[in-house]
Amino acid sequence: MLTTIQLIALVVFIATYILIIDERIHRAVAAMAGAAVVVFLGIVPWDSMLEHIDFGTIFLLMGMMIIINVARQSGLFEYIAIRTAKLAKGSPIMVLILFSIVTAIVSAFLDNVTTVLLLTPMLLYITKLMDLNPVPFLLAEIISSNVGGAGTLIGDPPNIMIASSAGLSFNEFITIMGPIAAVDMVLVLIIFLAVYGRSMKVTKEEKGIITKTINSLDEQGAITDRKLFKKAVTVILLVVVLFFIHSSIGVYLNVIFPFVDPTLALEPAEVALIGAAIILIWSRVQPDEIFEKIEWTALFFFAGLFVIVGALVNTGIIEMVSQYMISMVSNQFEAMFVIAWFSAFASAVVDNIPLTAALIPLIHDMSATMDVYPLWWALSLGACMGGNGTAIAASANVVVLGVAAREGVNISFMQFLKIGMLTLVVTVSVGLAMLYAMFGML
Amino acid sequence: MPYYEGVIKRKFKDLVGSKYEAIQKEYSEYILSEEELRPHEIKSILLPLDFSVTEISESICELLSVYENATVTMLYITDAQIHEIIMDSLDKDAGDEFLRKKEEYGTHLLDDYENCFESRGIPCKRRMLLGNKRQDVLKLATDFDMIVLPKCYASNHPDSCDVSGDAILLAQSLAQPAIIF
Repeated sequence: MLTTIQLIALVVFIATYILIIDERIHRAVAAMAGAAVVVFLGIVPWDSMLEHIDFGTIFLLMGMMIIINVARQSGLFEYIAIRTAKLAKGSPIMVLILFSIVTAIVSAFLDNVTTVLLLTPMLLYITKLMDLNPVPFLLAEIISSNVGGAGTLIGDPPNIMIASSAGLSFNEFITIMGPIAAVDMVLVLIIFLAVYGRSMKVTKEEKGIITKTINSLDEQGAITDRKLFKKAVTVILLVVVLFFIHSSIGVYLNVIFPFVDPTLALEPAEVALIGAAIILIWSRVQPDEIFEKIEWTALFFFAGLFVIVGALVNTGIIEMVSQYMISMVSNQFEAMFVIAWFSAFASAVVDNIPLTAALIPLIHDMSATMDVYPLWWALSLGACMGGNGTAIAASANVVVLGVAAREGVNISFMQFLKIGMLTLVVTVSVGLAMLYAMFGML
Repeated sequence: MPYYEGVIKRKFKDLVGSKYEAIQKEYSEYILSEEELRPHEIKSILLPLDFSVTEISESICELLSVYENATVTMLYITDAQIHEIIMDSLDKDAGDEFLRKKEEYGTHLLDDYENCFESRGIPCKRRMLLGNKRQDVLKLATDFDMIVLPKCYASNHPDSCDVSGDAILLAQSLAQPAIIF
């Protein structure tokens, strides 16, 4: 039987999540309002509120937002979009494959929302030139963004949250989730070619005209500031290198500066903030312009979610659910199975960010009775690939569907659900099998 | 599914805000609009040139190659008013020297553009005249389907201009579609 306080915490949690799904109130406002209620009622006391907010996640997102917003000003994304379009040489199948791969790679290292927001207009333009139905191309872009994002620590918000809370490194993500994302990406392309390949035909003459029109696009003209472009690319590469060595940076620094402790390690959030500082100093871009573009609503949304979930932790609800889960599963194999599939299907309904926020403390709680290390990967797999399940499961989906609707291309819920669920089932099944193999459970 | 469409609309608005409008504007600068995507309607293109054009734009040659079977007429104009001022304030020889130098530059420019177009299989014609850079373009434009204007056309400071006043005024005054490059 739940106590009154537990009941209130649960009602606030459920009400907030319903508001987030429905979005009649801005998700950030819904999360903050929920957080305000639990703080006001003392369920999360002010003193412990900051302990519940994962600043590793918040600062990592903030640092990457600064880097991306400076890079955006140089025309980097438009340049990538035009180069990709030209490489396809007027072939619809190549457009689908190349845009999917480029979206997956860019999403693995940069924010999914910005990536798809900047690539979608170009994809729509090319499909218009080809006089083909844009829907398969847009669906492939969404799914590639989610699959690509699953491959790295910084690729998708659920991974950032998991890494920050569980203390996982960038290299651990790339060695465990990277191969899964790569295999799943190949499977996604096979699925798309099998389902839509036949409809992607153009005559040789049409191909020639399309190539000519696309070749008339000037990727150099898309670069609005050449110096900034070079600086942005350099800083992004530097940040990626720093992510690769963040957990052992002391070893490298010690070689150059012997006074540096070889055990020194940087948190991923520190890497992002260092990158942000470098790009701001080097580019001389007005900082107020960039700080204005930080998605404060997203950061407050995350902070609010952490506090609401903190209320469930403080009232013992997470512990109760965790005890129930432990009683239901008898070993890691089963726990991974439950976490991966539950998070995948629940993400499809709730949106993978709030879902991950709720499941992280649950897994922490389970660590008292079992080694939860493999469970983090099952959660990462389920939350990221679950983002493909429905149209509202991940931010990238909403952005592409929103842009498409503005341009008169409507993708119905069922249209998305059919290919989304097929992809979800295939990618989670294969990913889970790979995780079992990696942890010696097969 | 009105509820589904409403949710997507609300979520999109909350996630993207006004960013998409800014992106659309950026893209519109280098991808063709619906109107520009109808190449069959463009059969004749006028490209006014003058001394403010200091280099050949390969990208405009590439872009115009989309308009299949269209003929590009390159028109190099030397300002008649300046020529007259030189003649009046100095002498006829100075005026002739001015004209000779401008025409020499114009010939090189037209040669380069001709090569640029012909290498892409675009038929082109060339003309050179002494006249008014704005009025003559407006007068001749009626015989063409599209006008392509260099961004610093008729500017006295081609190195430092973003878009010249004459290029903007012409684009606004012309009845035909115009591209400023």
